[in-house]
Amino acid sequence: MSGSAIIGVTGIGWVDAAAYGCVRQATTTVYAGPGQAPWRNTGLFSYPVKNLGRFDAPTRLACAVCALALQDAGLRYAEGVKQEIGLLGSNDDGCLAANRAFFQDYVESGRTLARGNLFIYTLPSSPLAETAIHFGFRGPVMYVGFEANGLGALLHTAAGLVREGQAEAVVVLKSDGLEGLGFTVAPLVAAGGGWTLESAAAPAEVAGTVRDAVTRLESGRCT
Amino acid sequence: MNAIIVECDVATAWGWGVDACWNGVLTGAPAFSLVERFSAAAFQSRLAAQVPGVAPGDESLVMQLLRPLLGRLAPRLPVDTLVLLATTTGEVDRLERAVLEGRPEDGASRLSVLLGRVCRECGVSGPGRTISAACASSAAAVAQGAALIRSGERDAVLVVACDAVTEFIMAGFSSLMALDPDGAKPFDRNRRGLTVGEGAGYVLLMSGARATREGRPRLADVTGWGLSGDANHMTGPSRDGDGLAAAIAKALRTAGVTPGAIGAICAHGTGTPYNDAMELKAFRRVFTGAPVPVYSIKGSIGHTMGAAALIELVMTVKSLQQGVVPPSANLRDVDPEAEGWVSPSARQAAGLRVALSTNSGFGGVNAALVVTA
Repeated sequence: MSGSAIIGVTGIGWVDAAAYGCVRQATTTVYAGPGQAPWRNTGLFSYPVKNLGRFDAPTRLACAVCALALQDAGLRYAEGVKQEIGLLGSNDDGCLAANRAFFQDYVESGRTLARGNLFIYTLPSSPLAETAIHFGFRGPVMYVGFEANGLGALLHTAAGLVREGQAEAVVVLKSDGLEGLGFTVAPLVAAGGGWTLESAAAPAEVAGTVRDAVTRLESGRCT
Repeated sequence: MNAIIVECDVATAWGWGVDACWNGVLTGAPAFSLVERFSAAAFQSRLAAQVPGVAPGDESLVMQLLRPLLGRLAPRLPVDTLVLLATTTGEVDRLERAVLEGRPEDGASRLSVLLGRVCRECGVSGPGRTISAACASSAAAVAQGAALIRSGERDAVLVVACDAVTEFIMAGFSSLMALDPDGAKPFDRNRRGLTVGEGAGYVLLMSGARATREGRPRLADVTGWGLSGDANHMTGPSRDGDGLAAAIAKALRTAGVTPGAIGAICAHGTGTPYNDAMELKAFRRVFTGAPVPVYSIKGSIGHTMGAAALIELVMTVKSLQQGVVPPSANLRDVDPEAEGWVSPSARQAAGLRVALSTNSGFGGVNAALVVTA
């Protein structure tokens, strides 16, 4: 890509325990009742996510947040179409819950046979890989963990990947438990609006809920 | 600005140190042994490549591997070095123990905890990062480190990589029927799977200016890197090698070289039927002239997962320094598709200047590094 283009955040999607939405488009969908989740909304994805019901919770969340981040950035995707988009993700616990689920099940089964369908989620990058497969992302896919909040560094890493030509855009996912934020990092275009990397990272790094971060981000757009 | 490798070290099933690994790899023999840390009787294979002297104890397996390596390095490591830790499961033996003892897992096996330990062991001042991209983790970390140096954001980056042979990992790969009962034999006609290995190591990357200022040796340059995804399947690679070919193309582009410049390829070469076939398709797609010498060291030191790419990078550096392309270890009957590319014997390559190292992993992640003498 051109070295002169300013790379920033062109879309932000979010999910929490009560609602989900897109920041630039200022949309919020509140769940109708308990037990609801964004992936139960058939309109969230352009086409059904294969095996969604078999995914673990972090993977379902990653798919939903990614869909919202793409939607907010105006990036379309279609079944069978691959795009040069990368995916970076970060959370506090890696895949600790999946590791525990896999090994506990193996031990309870007599320490002879393990379940492959649990094992494949015992990598921090697995939810990202499932997400990349659904959306047809052919760019870099990796988990980046930090001792403390590292969203700013993560967004800069994504921008670096775009600048180097490793991808045309990169979706960055930051999740904790059942809440997540997704940022689409791409060259900023004047008409499209967006955030600089700093104006997206700083409000989102302040301690608080995802909804608090969304409120701060709504007032921080640079164009 | 290139990222210069100024120092490196590894621990593998051949023992401690780069030369121990290099000399072992050159034998073309496997360093596999029967697993005795836990019962592997029910698994598809009882073989693994284990580092001598490492055994379950108070300290996690990977910290037993890392502490001696980092302890020796720490006095020479600048305090402003950024640490990038590459691993897939890290200290998962801590989780194993908690589950087996019936006590709650307290988060001691979290990667962020291991990252903190590694940074303290290194004596660096700033926070580090963990990078995990399945079995291409350490290639992705080296790519990140090299990119940070080329962009001028950093001038010293330490990439640390580790993974251990655990019941967790052996049970998992066995459940996927991915283990070769007789030991991995990459690019062999009769290959049936991988052999789990353990290993750890580091490469210290510096900008040329800083390396010169500090009087550091220049072992080799990381001149190109490419990362890609297959967007295809969680456990199987893209059958046509398209994703890996894309990663190689990006690596060549960032290195500013043509395919003809590549003198040797250290392949991922796990020994699974699909991986090795996919890699050969990718190589044929990119290298359309005469076959390029290809080798895999996983028939020697096993598949060391998160550490694999880093150890293979270090072996690539040795290959450039020595002008030798190592044998494809444990190879007996060359797959017809690999004829002309791989060899069970070491090959002399006196003019070897530029080499490629490739890795792939679960979820269809691919990585390629270009290394220049």
